[in-house]
Amino acid sequence: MTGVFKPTSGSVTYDGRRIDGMKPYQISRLGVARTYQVVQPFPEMTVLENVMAPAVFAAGASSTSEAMYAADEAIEFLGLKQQRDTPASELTLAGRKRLELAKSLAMKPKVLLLDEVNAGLNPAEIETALEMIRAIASRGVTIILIEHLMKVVMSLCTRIVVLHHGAKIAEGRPDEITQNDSVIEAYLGNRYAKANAGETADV
Amino acid sequence: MKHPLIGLCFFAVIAFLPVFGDNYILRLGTMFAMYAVLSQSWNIIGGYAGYPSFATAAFFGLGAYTGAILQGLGLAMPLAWAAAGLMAAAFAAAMGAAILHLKGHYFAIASLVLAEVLLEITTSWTSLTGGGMGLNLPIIRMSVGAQARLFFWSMLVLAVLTFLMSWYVSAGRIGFALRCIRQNEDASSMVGINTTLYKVIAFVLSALFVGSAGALYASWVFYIEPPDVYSVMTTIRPIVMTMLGGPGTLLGPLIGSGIFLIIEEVVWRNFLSIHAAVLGILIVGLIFYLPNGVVGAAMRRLRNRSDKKTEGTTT
Repeated sequence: MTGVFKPTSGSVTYDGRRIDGMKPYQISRLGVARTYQVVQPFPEMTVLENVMAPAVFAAGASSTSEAMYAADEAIEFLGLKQQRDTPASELTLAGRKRLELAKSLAMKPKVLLLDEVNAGLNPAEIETALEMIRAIASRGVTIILIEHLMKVVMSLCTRIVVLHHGAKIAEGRPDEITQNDSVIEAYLGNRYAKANAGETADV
Repeated sequence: MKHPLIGLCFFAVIAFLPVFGDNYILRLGTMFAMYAVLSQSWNIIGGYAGYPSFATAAFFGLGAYTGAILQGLGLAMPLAWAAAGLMAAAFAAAMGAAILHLKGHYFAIASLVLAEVLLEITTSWTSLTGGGMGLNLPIIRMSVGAQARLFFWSMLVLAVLTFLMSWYVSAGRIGFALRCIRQNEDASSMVGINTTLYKVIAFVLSALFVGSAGALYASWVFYIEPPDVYSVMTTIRPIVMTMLGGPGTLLGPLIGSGIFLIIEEVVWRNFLSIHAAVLGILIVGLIFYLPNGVVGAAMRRLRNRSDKKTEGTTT
């Protein structure tokens, strides 16, 4: 969807424009940002420089000071101010995930794709990450979340699409998804689904 | 901001060499300036962008032949030098677009082949280049001393131009993009960098002044032949010099050129038969002990010292 892999079939449209076949840098300039499950910092650069890169190239800041201002804002928003001048390679995993979010924010995105941002974090870190994601969403950024931690999905999402072996098996609000038979079958197995169906029928 | 000033002081010191009036010193000064052009140019693609280019000899030889042929047709020397630079840059743009999607070893081999192909073409195209017989350049009617000074000053100006170009690159948007590409090319493209465009720009900038230096070299030595100007050593030297000084830094290539020239003069003149072995040992030593060159080692030492200082104040 962000141009890293070319789709073999179908099309991707954004804001009325077809974006499949576009290069990643072109898509990023349209306002579609993404983070990776495996973090992708520029290891030798400081946190500030890391966040300035998208501000300069994707968001098209006209001057260094403008880029720095935008980067500082994103850094402060994600609580990385203490680490502003440390090299990205010295951050903890949670810190690097925040850095990824800061980089995405500095792109001034309209749509943000988060690919398992919470993977590898401990429960306390997940709590803070959730707050940040909520805060980003409240700024009017559409967030597409790819996640298998149910706690995260259920507390954040307004609309859920469930994929099983690459095919869509359900779509709807969180409370609809938890009641969906094919979702239960896919995740908890056949027998549980049947038992569950029997139970609900009893009630 | 203090870096560029140090670099300019460096050139100012070199500019005082003619005071000695010795032609040997002038020759060394001219060689230093030429090495500075080559290593600073390689630093753009090899240092900042991290693409191991082995194409320096291709640009140098192409520039030398372009300059020599144009001068043979009666074009004034400075114009021939400028045209040679543009020719090398155009060649780099075309070839860069073709081979810069390769990475690591694959790119290195593809860039190495460029010089080989040009060498073959130059050798076979006898009607234009004189083939293996080489090419003589028009004689300049000037005293030997005046000639030495002319080429010294011209090469030094070219080195300063290359330095100003490096400065512009390192301080601006291009250098920022190239540093991102070196560290993580996929992430660079995700943050909105047109990686292909910036890589081609880097390749072109690494060719422009090398082409002019080749033409200047041809005018300087009056006679060129394919194996001389397309020599593998022309490719290897700037890489070793930049690694020695500090790749991806503004001053590294200058410092490396200076150190390399001294090693070349002192050691190689005394151990003529084993100078290849000395170069080999130097490269191995570099990889083991100075992975970021002299500048890298100095910066690390400075950083450690300042870290200790801040620790000292907090405790």
